[in-house]
Amino acid sequence: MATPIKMPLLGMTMEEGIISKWLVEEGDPVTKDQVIVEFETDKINAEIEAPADGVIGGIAARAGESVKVQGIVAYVLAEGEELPAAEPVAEPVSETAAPPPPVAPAPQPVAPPPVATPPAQPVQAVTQTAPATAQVVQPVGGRIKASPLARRLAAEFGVDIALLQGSGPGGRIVAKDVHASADGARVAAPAPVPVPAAAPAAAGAVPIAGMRKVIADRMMQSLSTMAQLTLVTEVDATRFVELRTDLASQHEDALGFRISFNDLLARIVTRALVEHPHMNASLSGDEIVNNEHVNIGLAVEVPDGLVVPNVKNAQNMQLVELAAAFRKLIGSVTGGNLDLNDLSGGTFTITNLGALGIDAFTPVINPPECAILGVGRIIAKPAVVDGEIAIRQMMTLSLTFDHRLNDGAPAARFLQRISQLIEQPYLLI
Amino acid sequence: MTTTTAVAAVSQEAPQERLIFFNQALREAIDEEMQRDPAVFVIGEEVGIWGGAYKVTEGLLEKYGESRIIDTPISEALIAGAAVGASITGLRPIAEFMYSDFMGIAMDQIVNQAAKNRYMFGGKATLPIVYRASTGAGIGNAAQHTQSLEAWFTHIPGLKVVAPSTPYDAKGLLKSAIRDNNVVVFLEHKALYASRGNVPEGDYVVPLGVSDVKREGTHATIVTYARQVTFALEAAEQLAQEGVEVEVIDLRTLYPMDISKAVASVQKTNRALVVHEAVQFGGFGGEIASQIQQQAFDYLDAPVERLGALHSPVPFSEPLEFGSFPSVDRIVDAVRDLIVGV
Repeated sequence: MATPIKMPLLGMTMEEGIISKWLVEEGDPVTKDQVIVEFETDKINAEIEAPADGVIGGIAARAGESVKVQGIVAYVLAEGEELPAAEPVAEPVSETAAPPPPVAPAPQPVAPPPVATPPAQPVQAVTQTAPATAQVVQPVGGRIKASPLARRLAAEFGVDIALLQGSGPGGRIVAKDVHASADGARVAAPAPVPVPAAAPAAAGAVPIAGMRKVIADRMMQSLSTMAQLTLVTEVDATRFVELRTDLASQHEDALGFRISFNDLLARIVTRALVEHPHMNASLSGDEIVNNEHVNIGLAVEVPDGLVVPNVKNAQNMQLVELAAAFRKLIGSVTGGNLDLNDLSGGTFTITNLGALGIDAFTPVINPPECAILGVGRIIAKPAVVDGEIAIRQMMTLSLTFDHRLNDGAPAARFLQRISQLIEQPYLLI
Repeated sequence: MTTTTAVAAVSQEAPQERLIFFNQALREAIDEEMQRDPAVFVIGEEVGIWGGAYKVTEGLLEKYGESRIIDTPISEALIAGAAVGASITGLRPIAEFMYSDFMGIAMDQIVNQAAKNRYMFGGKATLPIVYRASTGAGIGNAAQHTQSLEAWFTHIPGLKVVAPSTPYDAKGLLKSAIRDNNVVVFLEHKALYASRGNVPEGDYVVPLGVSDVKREGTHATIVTYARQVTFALEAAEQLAQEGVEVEVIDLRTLYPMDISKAVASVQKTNRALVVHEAVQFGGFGGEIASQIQQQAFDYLDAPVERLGALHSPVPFSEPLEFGSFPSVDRIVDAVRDLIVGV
């Protein structure tokens, strides 16, 4: 029996996966759990393993093409077996995808079936006006049957429960199904973006693909769906710098690393977020959700791109714990063993361009978050202290926020609190 | 002497082992408490000369005399009411009902007097009563001598309710019940009287309101009490042959109920089956299931299932009687249904 190989769901925000490399070819024998194809998502690079022993057939998407979540990328066939005809074999959504084979016109819409079982799907032409959708069984009543444990695990793993098939009684989604989905693809190291072999390359041009495409899409999505504006302020970071220097020396032996400005900033921002939950919010449908946990993300540059791993439940962490957690995450980024979970579920992002000599900028919000703090360089400058000009360590902060969720004054108060904690960091105690 | 040598050899091999019957364990508890505290006395039908219908008080009349082992006429209201009055004067009655079914006659004394008086008198009177009764089906006693009526009592504020499953627990819990200054309804499954278990000699107590993990497992949790603990353990043994590891939680005390071990277990196994011999509909299992789902909701991978007796008077016919309440086979089946897909 032909076993479809589907694009797994890796994270709540994932909509499609872009095939980066096939490790097998049409007709190659494969064994169950053998890694057969590499792909990229909006957040990570990952692999798909063969779901069964057999022969690869019906490869539906080549390198550089994207496949919707749960869309079929290929089949594992028995020796000599034909491809199944009744199901669509390909759902490439990339605009550069090869045109689909000519097929009969799609049938007229029919009344919804009286039961949850969907009718056999006819082969559909993939066009821009009628984009292919993931094959998802939507229950008739709208309510998805899932055990409480399955729902909790799905939330933890960032798996969209609506995309799962339940194996429990009456089709209930149970924990096993969530685990299977989460394990469906092994998270691989973030690697340099591969250039699709078939890409039409002009001289010196590189097709926008892989991580670059993800960043491009998400940044456009951010700017086109949110009402973003940026507040800028300059703060006196002299005490902040002193404190960081003291703490770094104090804890270096115990921690094995020096506490960084970013660590201390993350602690300060976390405190401010706890006090200003409206800045730790996200828009879900028509509802503003004030997130219970502060999952604080830090923008980290990687070859050819950017990732934002986040520390979960930062509100419960002391500075040294938070610093250690960031150190671990950054180690994972450079070591290439970042977990999907580290990239999803963030509630606020800090991006620091200070090391590159930047003062103020207009960072773009990392959806579905509602704000992002841009941190500029710390530089010695003349400043007025008690009516005298003194040399102080000055720093510029740029807070971009979504005006749909927050107005200027509350956002300014949030930034003011951050400034206060930087200028008087002993208030953290 | 060879006999002495043999005994010594046995005790060296297993110095802890002392297997006695459930009713003996209860007798030891009563005996030791009567020795310990002259305020403790026994009152009930046939508890003296006959030694009790299930021989729990056998030999105690000879030891303590008629003033402390009191045979009564056939009047459950008298037994319950005399215990109320005696307890208010400072005595610690152990009142025996031959069958818990007959407590219906004594309900006014138990519910409106015993359970309430401490509160009605602003705490000036304490009523340290133990109402013991045999309960349960399985030995052909027909519908009027076989009911499991614990839910009647757990529903009444002012009563503690105990339902032991092993001789060890029976002795330790009965001692706690006798020493407790509240009214304790102590329900003894009649099919357990002849079960044997390891019981230490001398004084120990099992505190009221502390449940017990009787077997550890990972795939499903059975929460139960009284005789069904033994059935659940047999079922767990059978299921283990299939590779299914079932955790068995014995509540031991129904009020106050310690649900913590059941909740911790369900957090591990994600599946719970509540079992009792009482009629399932409106049974105490509903309370157990409700507390589990409330406290472990996010850990449940399946609905909390319940298994109790059919909604029927217990039949006299043996095959029908055994078909009416949970058996080892029915527990095994229920667990298999519960773990479908695991």
